[in-house]
Amino acid sequence: MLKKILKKDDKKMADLNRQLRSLIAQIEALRVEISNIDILISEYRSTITTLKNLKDLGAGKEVLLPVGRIAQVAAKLEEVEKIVISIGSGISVELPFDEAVEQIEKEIVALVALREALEKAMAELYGRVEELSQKIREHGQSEASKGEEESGEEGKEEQK
Amino acid sequence: MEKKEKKNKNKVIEFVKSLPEGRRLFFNFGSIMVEVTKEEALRLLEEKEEEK
Repeated sequence: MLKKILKKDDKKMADLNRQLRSLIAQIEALRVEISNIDILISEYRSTITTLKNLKDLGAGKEVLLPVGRIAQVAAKLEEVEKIVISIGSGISVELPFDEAVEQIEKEIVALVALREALEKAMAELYGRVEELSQKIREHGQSEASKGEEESGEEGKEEQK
Repeated sequence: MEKKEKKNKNKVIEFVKSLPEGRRLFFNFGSIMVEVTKEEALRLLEEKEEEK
């Protein structure tokens, strides 16, 4: 009977640990996602700065175009008032400068909102991890006290 | 994931449709960007959806 109870307790403990591991994995996945979003936001901000700088330099300015990672070729800026922006699904569209910057800013706003939602979800998961850890601690303590009681009773029987 | 992609594609289609006439559009064929008309862009987007 006692063995059965202990087995049930072990199963419960294993179950709680499994749940905890799953929550930690979810938190880790969210952390990676948030880090990717941060990289994207920073890239978009840098794009806006570069576009503004190019516009300030004006048409006719010589620039270096990267060809692969290691080479550059000289080119002249011909048009800075119109920017070609990728809008997804393989489509890019030429937009007037201000509209293009606005479009990128909209993307940044959407990413920031997504980041906030993910952070909120992560905070909730942390809360659940805390609850589960507490449960595991309590469960461990109750098992330890059960073990003590059991060894006490066995000692008494041996004395008899 | 597929649902999200479809939602994105619908957003792109809506955006393309809302563009005023005369805006240049490009379609990525591998690493090459080819200029397309609005109708061609919409057709290519539809075809891409059907492929999946």
